[in-house]
Amino acid sequence: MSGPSANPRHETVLSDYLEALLAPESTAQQEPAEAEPGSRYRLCSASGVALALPEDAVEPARPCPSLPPAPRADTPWYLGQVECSGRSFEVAHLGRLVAPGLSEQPATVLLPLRKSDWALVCDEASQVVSLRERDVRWRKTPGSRSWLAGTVSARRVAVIDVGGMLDIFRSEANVPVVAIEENEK
Amino acid sequence: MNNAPHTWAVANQKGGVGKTTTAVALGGLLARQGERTLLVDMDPHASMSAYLQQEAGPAGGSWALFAEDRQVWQAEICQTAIEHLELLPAVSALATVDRQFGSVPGMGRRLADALQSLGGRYQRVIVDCPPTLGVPMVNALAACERVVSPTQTEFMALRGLQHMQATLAKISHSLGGIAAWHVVATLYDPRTHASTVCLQTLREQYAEYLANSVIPMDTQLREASYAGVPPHAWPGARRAARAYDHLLDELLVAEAQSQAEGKA
Repeated sequence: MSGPSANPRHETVLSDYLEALLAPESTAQQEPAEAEPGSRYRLCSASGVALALPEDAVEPARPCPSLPPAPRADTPWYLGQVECSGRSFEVAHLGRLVAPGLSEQPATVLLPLRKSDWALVCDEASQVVSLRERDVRWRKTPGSRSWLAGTVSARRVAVIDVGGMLDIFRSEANVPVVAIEENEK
Repeated sequence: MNNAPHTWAVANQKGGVGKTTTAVALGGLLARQGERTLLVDMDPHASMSAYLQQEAGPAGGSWALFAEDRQVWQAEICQTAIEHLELLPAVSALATVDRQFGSVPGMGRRLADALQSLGGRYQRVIVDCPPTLGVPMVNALAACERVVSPTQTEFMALRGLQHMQATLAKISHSLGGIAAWHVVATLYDPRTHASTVCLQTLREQYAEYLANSVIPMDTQLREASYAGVPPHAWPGARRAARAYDHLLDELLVAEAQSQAEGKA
């Protein structure tokens, strides 16, 4: 069976795409063997920035509902209360928070934060990975970006300090935050 | 696919050819025969969900197949107004799964794995595909034993069929097996030259795959979809319903033959 598109390069690209999608998932999602176990992180992308959230700090991702405009100009990342899956969340636009000024992608995923009434919306959140402690360049002194816990240069991701981020919510959005366990590093 | 129900995907890489109507018609007829049937809407347009007047639940219907907590998808299945006919609805967020998961290996097998987990809950699953090749369509094609490609009897539809054929060849190569392919002429209007010429072309070029049944242009199908009932349950759509009935017979005979031969 041959198709109407005769360009071999296009055909190869399409075949590679299909081969990858149809690879057995049990082996495909395995990560490379590591010498030491790491902590689990949810990889997500917000305004094109790759971020890692501690897996134990977030609930399963949900489709992003329609989002309202930001109610306040001084905190454009705070979107107010949004209904999703029968629950009401205080919603923060992760891209606007961590990378203000970068061009935004439409938010597709809502990530509720565990033990909190807050949720983050982001471009995507498709993978859970293991990060070894020694691969993370932890931030030693607090800076202006209190949401930033550290960086992993090999993966080019920024690790999020959920506790620090909730502090921002509390202080800047002026919305009470339900207590959450300290983000373990 | 030992534990999975018999699964058919209704797919064509062209829109407006009658995919949703065909999926609902076949599902409705199977349910009428007493077969416990699950319709799966994999199209971000959610046309089948709208047809059957159902909406996805909190986990996002078929979107939940791609979420981390995969078990939640079964809770998204809803009963339709037709006995024995249930539906996994779609949401527009399905349009984003390619951007989110298009580079994640193995994401094309999620539906197949999910259907395996259903055990004997359904005898038949019919998947309504979007008209574009991407994660949702690949999942449908990887999960099914049979692909039913409705094809509008007009020139432009033939090109969509060529794309579909090429896609099926690649999927078969990746999976190491092939789903049976059935091309179905739809929206046939014998009063028009274009329709008759196109049907003749289909008979010449796709003789191996073309179903004998031809679905006629029947404006009453629109009325049936407006009423939210399958064509067989809409008194005015008898002509099309009869054609779909014949098509179902053809598909079931082909399935029985394949089983007898030890294939899908």
